[in-house]
Amino acid sequence: MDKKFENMHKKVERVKRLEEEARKSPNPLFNPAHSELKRLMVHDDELSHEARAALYRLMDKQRIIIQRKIRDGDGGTGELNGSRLPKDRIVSINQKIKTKNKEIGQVVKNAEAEIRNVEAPLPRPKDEASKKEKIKLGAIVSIRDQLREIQRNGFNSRRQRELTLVALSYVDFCNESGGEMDAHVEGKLEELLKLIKGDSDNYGDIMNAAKSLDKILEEDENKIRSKTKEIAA
Amino acid sequence: MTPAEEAKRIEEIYNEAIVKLDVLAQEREKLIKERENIIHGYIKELEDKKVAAIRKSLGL
Repeated sequence: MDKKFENMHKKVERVKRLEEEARKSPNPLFNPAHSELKRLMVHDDELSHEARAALYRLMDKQRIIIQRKIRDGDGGTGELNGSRLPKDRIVSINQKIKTKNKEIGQVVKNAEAEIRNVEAPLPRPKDEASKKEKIKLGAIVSIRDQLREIQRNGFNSRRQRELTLVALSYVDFCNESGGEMDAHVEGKLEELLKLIKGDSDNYGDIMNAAKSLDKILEEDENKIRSKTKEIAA
Repeated sequence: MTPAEEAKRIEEIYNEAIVKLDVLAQEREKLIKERENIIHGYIKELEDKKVAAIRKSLGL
């Protein structure tokens, strides 16, 4: 019994030695000691269990070695030292992308500015303005003052009230928009003012003057009309 | 400028801007692709070298 135990003990010791030998090798799974352990696991019934356990431990050892090599990146050979990320090229491309982004922003800004210019009312060119005969602020103020006076003194009729308010609205509009008005409008206003003041009692004359002014107002767009409505309201 | 002319001009400006933006977007996309290719190329090269070095160190 002791002999048998002694033999067994020797066999186990051998397995330990083989494992130790394999462990010392740079590649625990690729050396003669490991091959012997595999042979014992397959062919020696008594040592199969011990040898299998030793092989598993060696696999663990090998895994640790591989993990370390992977972590170090180059397997300890130093061969990867030459590999470098081409930072200069990437920085250059990043710069180009940044420039491109700015160009895109600029295109959008330019388009927005152009659209704003189209939408904004264009200032009347000076040469065009100079072609038309204008009267100055003083003339407008004079007509307005006379109309206001009529308003203050009270209207003689509904017609006079309407005409005065219409004329006033137009004068106010001209005054607000720069103190200028076309000469033909000035003529009509003066004619109307004369009628309003009672220089003519002829109802037909008053109607004609009102119609003329209406026509002028139509030509001068809805802005004046809305202002007229505001005042008359 | 009449409202119709105004609308037409705005549409023209809009279409011109869209064409320019399309071109710029394509150029930008190209640059991004180029940058990706450089980085992917570098990573692939590094991985290949890494695998080769590990295999060599294991005697495979």
